[in-house]
Amino acid sequence: MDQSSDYSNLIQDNRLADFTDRVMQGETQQLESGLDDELIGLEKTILRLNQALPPVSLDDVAIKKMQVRLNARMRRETKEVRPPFWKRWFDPRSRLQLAAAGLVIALVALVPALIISEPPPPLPATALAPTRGIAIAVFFLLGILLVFLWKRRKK
Amino acid sequence: MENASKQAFQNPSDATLIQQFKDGDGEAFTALYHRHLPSVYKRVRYVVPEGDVEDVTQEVFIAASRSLASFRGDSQFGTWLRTLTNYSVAKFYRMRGRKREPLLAPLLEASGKTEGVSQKTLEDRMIIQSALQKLPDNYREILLLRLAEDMQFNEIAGLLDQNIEATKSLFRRAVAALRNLMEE
Repeated sequence: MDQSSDYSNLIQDNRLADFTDRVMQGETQQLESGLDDELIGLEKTILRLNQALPPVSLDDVAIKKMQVRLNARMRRETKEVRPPFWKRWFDPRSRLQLAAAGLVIALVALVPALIISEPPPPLPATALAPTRGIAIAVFFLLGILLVFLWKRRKK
Repeated sequence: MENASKQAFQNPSDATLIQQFKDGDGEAFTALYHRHLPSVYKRVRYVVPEGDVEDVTQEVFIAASRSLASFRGDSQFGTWLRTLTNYSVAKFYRMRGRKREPLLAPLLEASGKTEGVSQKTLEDRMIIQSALQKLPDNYREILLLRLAEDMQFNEIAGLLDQNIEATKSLFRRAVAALRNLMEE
């Protein structure tokens, strides 16, 4: 490429850039390059782009409306995207909950078994035997604990 | 000095807001959203059919909120967001199978969501958007920076780390390539 071609390109670069600036600022909507066919074609393209996709500006109201819709979508997607069961299974928090629930179930199963397997008192009982009373109290407390854990899980 | 610190407090930088977001401040993301939505929206609008613009714009910010915690600040946040926008647009066309043939999109469907825009303008937009998708990345990028985001040539030169003559030259070649594609 010779020097005159470089110079010609440089002029075209600048003229097209200036023309684009004026179109974008809304200062002109007409072709400006007299006899330069190449530049006329490029200017036509800029005008065509500007007509089909004129510059837009978003005001505060539009931005806030779009933000509300974005927030709604993010909330919806957060609810929808639940991790697969195996991920939940290995999640440390889930493991803790599972362990607690397992412990409670085991104790709940164990206490009635202890009560059943306890030998009958030698004398007719006038009141609850001490061990049996403790077992029922433990059973009651475990019930409360189970309800508490269940409520926490629901949250 | 006092004014500068007051301004920094009232108008924190992207880096400050990102750090606040990483520290658990959700409002920091809202501030980033308000600051960058216009440029993302304008860029998306230039390359995606009108009816899908908000959807794709939302995709960009959802992706940003999910990966912002891993943003290390190697580039400017705006540049990172532009890359994310280009990725979301590419994903949009990949999912719709429209990348090669955007003109196959039903015009009536599009016109239903763009009241006040003539059929000819809608057709022209589709021709332009189809041609833009076929352009080399550097050509498409400079056209979007100047025409969609309305950045000045000196700003673009700074962003692309090149002199203004090279920037204007790239712009002219990009317009010429786009014109050829639009006339095909």
